[in-house]
Amino acid sequence: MAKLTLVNGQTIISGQTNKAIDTIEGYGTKQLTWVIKGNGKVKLDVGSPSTGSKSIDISL
Amino acid sequence: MSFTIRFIIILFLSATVIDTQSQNADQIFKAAGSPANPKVAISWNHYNDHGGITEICKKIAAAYPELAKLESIGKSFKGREMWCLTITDFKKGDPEHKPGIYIDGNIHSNEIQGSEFAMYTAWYLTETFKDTKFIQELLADKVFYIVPTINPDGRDSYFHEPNTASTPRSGVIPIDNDRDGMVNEDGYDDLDGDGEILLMRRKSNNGRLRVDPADPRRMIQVGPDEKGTYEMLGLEGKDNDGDGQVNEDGYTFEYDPNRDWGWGWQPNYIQNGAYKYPFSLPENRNVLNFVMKHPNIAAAQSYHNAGGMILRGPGGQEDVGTYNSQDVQVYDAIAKKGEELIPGYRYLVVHKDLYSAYGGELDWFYGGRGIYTYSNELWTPYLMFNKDATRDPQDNASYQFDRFLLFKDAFVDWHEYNHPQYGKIEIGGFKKNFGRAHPGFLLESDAHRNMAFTIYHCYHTPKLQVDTIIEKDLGDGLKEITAVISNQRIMPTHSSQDIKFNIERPDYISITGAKVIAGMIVDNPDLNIAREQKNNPATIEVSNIPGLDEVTVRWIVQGSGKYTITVDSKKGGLSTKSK
Ligand SMILES: [Zn+2]
Repeated sequence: MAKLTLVNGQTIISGQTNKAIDTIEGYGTKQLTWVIKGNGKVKLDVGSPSTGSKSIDISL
Repeated sequence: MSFTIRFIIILFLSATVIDTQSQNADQIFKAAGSPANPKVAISWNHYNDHGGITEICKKIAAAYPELAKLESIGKSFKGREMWCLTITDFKKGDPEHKPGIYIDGNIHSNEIQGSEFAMYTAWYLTETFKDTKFIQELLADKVFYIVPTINPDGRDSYFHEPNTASTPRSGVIPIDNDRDGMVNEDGYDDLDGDGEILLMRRKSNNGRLRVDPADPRRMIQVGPDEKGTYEMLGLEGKDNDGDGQVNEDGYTFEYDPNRDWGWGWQPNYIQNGAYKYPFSLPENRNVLNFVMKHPNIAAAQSYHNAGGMILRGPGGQEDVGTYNSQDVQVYDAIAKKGEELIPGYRYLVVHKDLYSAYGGELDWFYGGRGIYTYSNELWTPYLMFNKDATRDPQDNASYQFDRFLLFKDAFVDWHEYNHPQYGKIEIGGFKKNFGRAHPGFLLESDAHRNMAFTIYHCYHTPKLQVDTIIEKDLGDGLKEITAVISNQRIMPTHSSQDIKFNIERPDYISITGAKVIAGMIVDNPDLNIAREQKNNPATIEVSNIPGLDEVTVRWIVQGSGKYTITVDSKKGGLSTKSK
């Protein structure tokens, strides 16, 4: 599950705040895109029961 | 004296008038659906050789320069021009950007009426344009590429040399069929010199045939407990080269032009009739080059005879998976309408309902170019009495039809001949213009019905429109523009074959006149699910615009002002909207 949290009053123009990812292959990647209006930072949490989770801040 | 001279001049003038024009325009009452007083006067109850086709094409192009253009797509093996009429409203839009249908006929030399059907289409479209709103709208949107014969050498040899209804199927490049080092040394012989290759029969005490007492022209098979009086000796001919065989190497059976196309091609030892390599026949290569230069061709029709069929591929069993369910839906929808429009014709699949064959034209059009293509097998014995009949010589229907409707014009009565090998024989049978070719009075009507089918096919090539444009102000000088592009016809811009093999580029939906920040395809407008296109967002690439459906695209733009949205599709044409 990927969860995007807006911190600074931004708005999402395209993309979902909660996005389920079916699977990520071993050594694989998945690309997600959001179009966001605003500036500052947003927070992205990605995780699954079998991998634990990871959180990053993205500067717009 | 002066009276006599004047009298002669008047006679001469009136004779000329009668010669060129049968009625005045005001003497004619229009029959529904036909041009009442056509500029190009043609009667559609006879066949035309290549010279005749050339003249008709030139007349149509000369009479309607704003609707018809004539070009040669190349020369045949013997140097005949392969004429193509482009029919569209040249005053509306660029023909190269209109969805097109390609129509040809006569790939098999003896399958002649496809050329007349194709020319009838060109003639009808140009002659009815003035009075018929539907045709005006059709030619504003679409373009017809009509090549009446893609085998002009074979056509002329069929007409001008002695033949049967079934020969030649082949083109005319010489081949040593029996591999004896000699070419075409023993073909059919027109023994009695009447221009026809008929049947030979001989009286025989042990024959298995006898003369039908009800119609002495007809031979019937005797039952197991009966004795016959005749035996059949095959088609008219003799042993020309003294090898003990009759008619074993003629020009009428060299190769099959419909086994030469570059999809699933197989050599002659696998696919009988294949020539040297894919597109090794100059006529087919000319078609290939023409089609490659016209990527707007979305639909195609090839005319054969006979049997009353609307055929689609695949030709080979191996290609069954090539035709997926979406494409089959399109094929079915159009062909089922065709069955309604052309009574007596059935919609069939080549490999399943006929035979398996590789390297056929319709397989290349669909498999190689992703073009929805039908082959119609023109003429069916059904049309004789509007009820089921067969071409079987044992079927009495042909004799009845010839006797009561053609007044025995289609049959050469049995007559005696002294054969160099067989002795005293008789020659007779149906002429080459009967059995596969339409009799004159049914030619125009069936041409019209088949044309109506190709018009329906062409009508259902994609019609794209920039439908609705919705704007949303995002604040800070940003604006969201959402555009819905619809396709109002059955055919998608890309057949699934096209998508699978990346045959044609995607459709481009572009915005000009605005500063684009982001662009995306909207998969679900209600739930706001979209896929962003990072590169060149002003021109969104869409892999397909399905038939009777729509796609939605969205841009985030900066600033305000006028802009234009354009959809540009190779097979779907162009459409724009400004706001
Ligand atoms: Zn054919």
